Amino acid sequence: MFEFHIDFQGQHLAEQVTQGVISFFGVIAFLVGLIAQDIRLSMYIFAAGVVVAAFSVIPAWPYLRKNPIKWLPSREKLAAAAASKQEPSPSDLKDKKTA
Amino acid sequence: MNSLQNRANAVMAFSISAIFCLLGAIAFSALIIPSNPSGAVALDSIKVVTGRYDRNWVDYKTRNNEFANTVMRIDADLSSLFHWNTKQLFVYAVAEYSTPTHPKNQIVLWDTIIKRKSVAVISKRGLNNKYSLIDVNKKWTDINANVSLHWNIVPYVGFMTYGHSKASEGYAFPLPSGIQT
Repeated sequence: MFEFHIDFQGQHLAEQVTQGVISFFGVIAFLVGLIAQDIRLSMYIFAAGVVVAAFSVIPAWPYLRKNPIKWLPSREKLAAAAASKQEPSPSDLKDKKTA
Repeated sequence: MNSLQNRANAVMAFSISAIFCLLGAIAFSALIIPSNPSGAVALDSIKVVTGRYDRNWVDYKTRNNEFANTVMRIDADLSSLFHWNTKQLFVYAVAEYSTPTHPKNQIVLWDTIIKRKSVAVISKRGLNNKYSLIDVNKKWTDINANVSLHWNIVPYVGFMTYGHSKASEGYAFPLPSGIQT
């Protein structure tokens, strides 16, 4: 199914992309409008920038999900693994106690 | 920025901040764009007639208020005032004079709205004043008035700016002749 959530690095990247794209289009909109002496053109360029920014960050594109969070295994799984192994490693036990 | 709604919100919020910066830059850029407008008003004739008028419009008995009727000639080239932040121009001809009791008087004789650069060159002959030319003291005797063309730039965003042409020579008002109907 569809994935709507992105990871932490993806969130940081999404924010940078949003601000970068909209600011860039804003500067271009001002310069082009000033040279062409057309305020309408300026507004259209800015609107295009907002659309580009929205399209590139609002959907959870794969480039925003490159670093998924690696969770620790659950206690049950850990216990099961410990039981199947005759000798649980000391690190496993320590994790179990402090968890 | 985690969820879909959160990212949509962030994009819209930042775009609002950015468009305000853009509009601010446009507003300030309009102040420094150079322009060289020119304009001149001349009065071809002035006629003074008497009629009924009172400050409160209740004096229906006497006809002793003097109205000046003028014929104007206006030449102006305001096309350089149309830059990217000009929505329209409000152009008006102003008569300015001083009397012993009131040092500075300004009366708008005629006005127009210009919405496009293509019609910003004005050349009009034989214009009568649109608005009554009445002095506070009700008399035009011994008054010298000069006329000038003023303009007001209405922007899309930002500051209203004003300008005016050089004042014409002073015109003396003649003695009343006739009665206003």
